[in-house]
Amino acid sequence: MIRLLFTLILAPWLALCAGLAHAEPDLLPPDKAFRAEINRIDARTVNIQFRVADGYYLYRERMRFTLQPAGELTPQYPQGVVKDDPSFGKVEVYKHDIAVTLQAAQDLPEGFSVAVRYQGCAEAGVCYPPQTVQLSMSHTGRNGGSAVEKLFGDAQPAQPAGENYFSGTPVATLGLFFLAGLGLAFTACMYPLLPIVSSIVIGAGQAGRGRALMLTLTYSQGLALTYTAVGVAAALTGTLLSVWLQQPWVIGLFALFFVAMALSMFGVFSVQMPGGLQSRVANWSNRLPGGHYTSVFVMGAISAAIVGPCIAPPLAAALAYIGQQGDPLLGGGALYAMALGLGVPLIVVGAVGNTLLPRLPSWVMKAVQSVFGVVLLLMAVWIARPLWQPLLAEAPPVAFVAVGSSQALDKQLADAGKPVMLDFYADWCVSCLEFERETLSDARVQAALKDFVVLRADVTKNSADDAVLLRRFGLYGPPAMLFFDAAGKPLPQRVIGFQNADAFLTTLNAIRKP
Amino acid sequence: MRPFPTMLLAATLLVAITAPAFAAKTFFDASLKGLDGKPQTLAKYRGKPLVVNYWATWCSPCREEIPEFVALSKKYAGKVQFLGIAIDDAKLVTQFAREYKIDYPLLADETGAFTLIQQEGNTAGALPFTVVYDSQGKKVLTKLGRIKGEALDAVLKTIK
Repeated sequence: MIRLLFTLILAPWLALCAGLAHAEPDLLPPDKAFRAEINRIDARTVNIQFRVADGYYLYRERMRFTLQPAGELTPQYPQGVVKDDPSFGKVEVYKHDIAVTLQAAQDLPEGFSVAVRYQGCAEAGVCYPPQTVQLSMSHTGRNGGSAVEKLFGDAQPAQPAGENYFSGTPVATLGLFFLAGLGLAFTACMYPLLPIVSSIVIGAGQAGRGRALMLTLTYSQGLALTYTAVGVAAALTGTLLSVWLQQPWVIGLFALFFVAMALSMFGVFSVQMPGGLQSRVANWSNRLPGGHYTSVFVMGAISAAIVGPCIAPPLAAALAYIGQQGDPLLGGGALYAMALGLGVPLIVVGAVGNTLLPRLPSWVMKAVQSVFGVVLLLMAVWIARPLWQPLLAEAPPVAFVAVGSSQALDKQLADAGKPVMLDFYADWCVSCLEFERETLSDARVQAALKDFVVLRADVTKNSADDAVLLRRFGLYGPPAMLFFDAAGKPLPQRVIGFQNADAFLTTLNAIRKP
Repeated sequence: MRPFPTMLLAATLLVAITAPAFAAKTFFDASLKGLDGKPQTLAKYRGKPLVVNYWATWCSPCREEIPEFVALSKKYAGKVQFLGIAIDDAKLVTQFAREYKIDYPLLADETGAFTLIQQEGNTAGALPFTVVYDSQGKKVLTKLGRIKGEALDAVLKTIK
């Protein structure tokens, strides 16, 4: 037994030490060898200070500074040492601490940050890959805490998905996605889930708060696991799952499920029905409305499908990462962490809701159940909206030119002559409609869009051409706004998920005046 | 009421999903992008002694040692496979390979190669980094920093 323990605990550890000793001659990790800090000088000037450890050096010409939100920065470099490099010839390097002064063309906006890219080597004869750090002036004086802001910060032009989220250690990545999920939990995507959770709690009734907590936990596990499994499957196979989930029969089934839950809230199933059928249906209904763990788990799974189409930046990043890297484990873990984050407020509702619920007399309980029955019926109508909404569709606030295929897009890009915005849209996409209603209808946005050719790819039908278009840009579904310059070259700015008018204007202006 | 089977199922699924993330992955399980941008699995390099050189065009010591790799790859043609993995842009790598007449296969995958190099024990991701495997896929040598041609030659002479 002891021997076994030894093998289990010590052996891998020893192997690890041996491996490390073998591989690394006392080499500092790159963030210790070169440390970058930002200092504010005045309204338009900042200082980037590099601390270079002894025996290490940085290349002057490999430094890049990018202001976010986008703007012009003029760096002033100090004098370096000229190194006669066997491969590169005479190059200027910094072997000691230095500061680079960055001058902006305008006053630096509130909440700006500077992406600093640098590359250096150790005199011992090894070089580090280029490093990028995001430096911002935070109130605490440290750079921490900005990760979540970066995910949701509205002033920042969206980066091509995938890069930022997976740059840290796996643990940091998972933590980041958990926080992202927590943040997403307060967006419009999640509102539909609140009545479901509430009805679970109500369903638990007076059975005790421990049970309500366990039920919401089960529910959030159903949500998280389905979300993860389905997301990984979608990314690996390249299936546009959110599109698939919007097929009429799938939606019909979901809507029926909610109707069934609502009916059982009303107690309809216990009303007269012929003998054997009645008992069977009653038996089934007893399991349904949050009373039973299995059905709660299923509800969680269905809820995952409901929030699935809300393609938010972190979700798009995770899917793109899995799709590109073929690493479903970290990507799936990230999705799971995000879904857990999504579930936290729901669990809180489950735990607190039941405590707040006083021991009500049974007629009040009945009334409350009826109310939630109505809410669930409304949910059914809401879920089924792709079936009826196109009938009520309004004209979009912007005159889009429709592009139906990759070839059509190429033709439009070739003829554009000015910057192009390509909007991926679908009737069933909640965030797309929100984007139309809140952002595109804004007068300032409409004025700014006059400088663009605005194209729209309506992927509601998920035709083969739609799929090709989405895949061409590594997208898993709408909403997404892509931009191209006048020559038809794709620009790094991308807007994935909802943005308000102010944030969207910042993005547009950055493209208009490069 | 059967809460436990469901919770157990959830827990099992959870473990099943996360566990492989912690299981050891070997070099030959990885998949990296080739110069054409398409992913390739490294499993095909199993079965013959293999010299893997991680490098980049921006890395001066890497550029110095590459002619020695090219020479040794010729000397051991058919016996030892050489593979260059660049933490770099495929275009720059293609151009460099033409200049330096690199005739062994090259892969260029900035993020993928960086992950792999860390997994191979080089946590700082520093270059150059060379790993030698025998025909069984067992690691025979890892070297961070410039490797001397003679030293590598001595290892390759005895490798099986």
